[in-house]
Amino acid sequence: MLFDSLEFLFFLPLVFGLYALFPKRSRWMLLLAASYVFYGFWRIDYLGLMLISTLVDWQIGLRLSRSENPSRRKMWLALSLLANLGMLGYFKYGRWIVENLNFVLPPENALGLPDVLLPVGISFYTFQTLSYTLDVYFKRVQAEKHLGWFALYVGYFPQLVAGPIERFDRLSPQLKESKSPCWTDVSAGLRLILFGLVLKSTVADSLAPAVDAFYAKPNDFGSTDAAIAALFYAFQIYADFSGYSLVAIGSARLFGVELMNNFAAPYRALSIASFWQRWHISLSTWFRDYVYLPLGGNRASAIHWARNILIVFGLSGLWHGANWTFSIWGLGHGLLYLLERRFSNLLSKTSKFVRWLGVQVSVVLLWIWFRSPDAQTAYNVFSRFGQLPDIPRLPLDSVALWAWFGLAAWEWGAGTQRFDELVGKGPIWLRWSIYAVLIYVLIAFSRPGGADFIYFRF
Amino acid sequence: MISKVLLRMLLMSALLVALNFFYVRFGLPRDLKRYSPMVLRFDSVSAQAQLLYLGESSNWTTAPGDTDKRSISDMASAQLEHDQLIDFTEPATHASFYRRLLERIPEESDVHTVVVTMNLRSFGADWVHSRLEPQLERQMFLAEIKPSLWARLRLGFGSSVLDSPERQERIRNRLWALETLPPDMPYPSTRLWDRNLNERGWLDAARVRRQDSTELACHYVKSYGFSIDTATHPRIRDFDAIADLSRRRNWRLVFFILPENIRQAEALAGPELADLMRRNRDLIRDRYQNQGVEVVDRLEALPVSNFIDRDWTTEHYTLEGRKTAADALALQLRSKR
Repeated sequence: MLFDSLEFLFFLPLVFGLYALFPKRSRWMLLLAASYVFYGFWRIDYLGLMLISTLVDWQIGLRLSRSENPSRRKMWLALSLLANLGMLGYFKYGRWIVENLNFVLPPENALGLPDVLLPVGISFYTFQTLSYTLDVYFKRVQAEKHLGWFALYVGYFPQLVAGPIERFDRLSPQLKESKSPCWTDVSAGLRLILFGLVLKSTVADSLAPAVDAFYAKPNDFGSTDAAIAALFYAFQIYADFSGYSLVAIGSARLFGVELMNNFAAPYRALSIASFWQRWHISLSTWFRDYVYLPLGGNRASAIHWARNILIVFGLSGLWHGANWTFSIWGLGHGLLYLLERRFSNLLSKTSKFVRWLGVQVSVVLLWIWFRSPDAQTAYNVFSRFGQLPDIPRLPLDSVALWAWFGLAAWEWGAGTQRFDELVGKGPIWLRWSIYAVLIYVLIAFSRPGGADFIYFRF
Repeated sequence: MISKVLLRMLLMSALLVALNFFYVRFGLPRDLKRYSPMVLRFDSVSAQAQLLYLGESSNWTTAPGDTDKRSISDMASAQLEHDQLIDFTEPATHASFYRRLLERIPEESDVHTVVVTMNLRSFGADWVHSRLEPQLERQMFLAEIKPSLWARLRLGFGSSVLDSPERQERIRNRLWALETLPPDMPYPSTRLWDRNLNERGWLDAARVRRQDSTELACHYVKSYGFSIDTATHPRIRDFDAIADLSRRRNWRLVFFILPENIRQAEALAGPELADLMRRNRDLIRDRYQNQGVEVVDRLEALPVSNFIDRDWTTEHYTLEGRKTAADALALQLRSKR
């Protein structure tokens, strides 16, 4: 089920109403059933994959908690990694791996391409269950004995398909609390949902046609269009994913659950390091805690530290999809991060504006790799910048331009303050005026047949 | 908390009413232009028509070598002494849209005659659940659903309320599998007919399988291999409603059964398919003649050479084909009621 669908607009109040009516001790059953309906609405057969992942990690978690034998514990951990990464590898990277193998194999030995559809959310719930097993292995959390509570942690519908990727020790206690709805949570949740939907359905979806038109045939456009498409895409993906995250956070908040913030004004970052503390925070912290630190983090020689950084950024790129373009995007960020650290003294002497400009131009240019379906397209896009500026030919409508400027102004003005916090402070007349404007904008300017959430592909 | 919720729900309801008013005044005209151009064009066409012709791409599609590019309706119109036949042509439309558009004609309109094309292929699952259907359906949203703000919300958020092209395809496949054909047909269902034809292949004079002809033969079976259940078929419901509306509005109603490439259907898929097409035609013709509707039946009027598309089933005619169809229609319109 998509957040920006009528089904969800009926589903959420229904689940919320039932939740309020259900006795506290059985609310988890309702939420679990609702989560499976939410996921199964999209494709029921892939629900089985999530159930397998749930059962495997629940069992392994229990066995890890019961065993003190290091080699046995390692074996259980390896099994969990194999099951989760194997599933992810097959469904997400299987085709890509075979394609790359076929590139080096003689044609007569070419392997058949697996014909599988990427199950929505697999990268998110797999990382969530992996974090649980690793936390149990390192004895940071107690294993969950109750299958139902564990299944709810894996499948909790607000954050199931595109995050934020939550940790067990943060989400599970909140779910177990089965908090009764209170007005503070409900009003904050509704504000977040409203603002998130505006970001997705009005801002991201209105920017999408120009971006899609440009990337479909970049050679038909000039340098001005290339710049517009790059800027539009930077805002499209931000509005799309942060919009999704806000709806997720808002939906969970209705049930008294506080999910972690996934974005904190990334386009105000003055460094690449800061950008990654503000962009897709739940994924960056996941890689920090489960890849970077176990690799040694910065407690290593300069060479090893640089290697760790590049591994983390490269994997982070690859996490987004089975394509070299994502790896280049990730590694590009990694290289910039290393350069930034290398020349930190020099950078600290430059003005904030110059640093901000440098970081943001780099980020926008790296998005080109992220958006391009292949290296040839990325090359074609970059080659546009070698031309003299010309009159734009992209289909730019006024809604797209307003959306772009609106989001830029919000980013600049609100900073890291979240919409619900900022608006919640205002007097009632101001709050309701803002709701009126946003509801109108959401309904009257949403794009019919808008694109799917970009992060659904990951 | 309950009083707080109730108070806010009341406030929200008032807000939505006000927003709807604002939208109808300022947003709807812009959105109708953008998302419902078909409806606006129909309103404009029907406002200036006395004789109205409703059709799809068969009306105006021409062959590259045609010396006269006029549409069927224009050719027919030229043969009328006093009246002008004004057309509303929209590709892939069918009875459901014609019905809903005709219902928009105001009581005080000058329209007195309505010609509605009856495309036999439009009764098949391939057209009823066409991939183009959702986008046509979407054009009707803002014009039909009230309050308008709700219509706009459904337009923006309800993409999955409409059948997606993929779902349409799944329904088509299911209908072909379930389609029960008359017992004297070679196969009990369209799916089996299609599958067997595909396996057997279409053989030329030298008994060699021709893949292009096989695919076309299968397509003919899927396009015309159906029997019409008058109790449930959506097209019948819509044509019935058009007939009923015309009676109420005192319009002269002409159903125009368009020529189909029945000879090619017979050559590729066998005489049984042509026979089935004739039976379906007879059924709809008799049904509406019995209801007092004038029916111009030109199903078998054209030879294969009068069809433009040789590798697909369409109702696109060459100049000669359009002229033949237009002559028959003009003759009917010139006749006394």
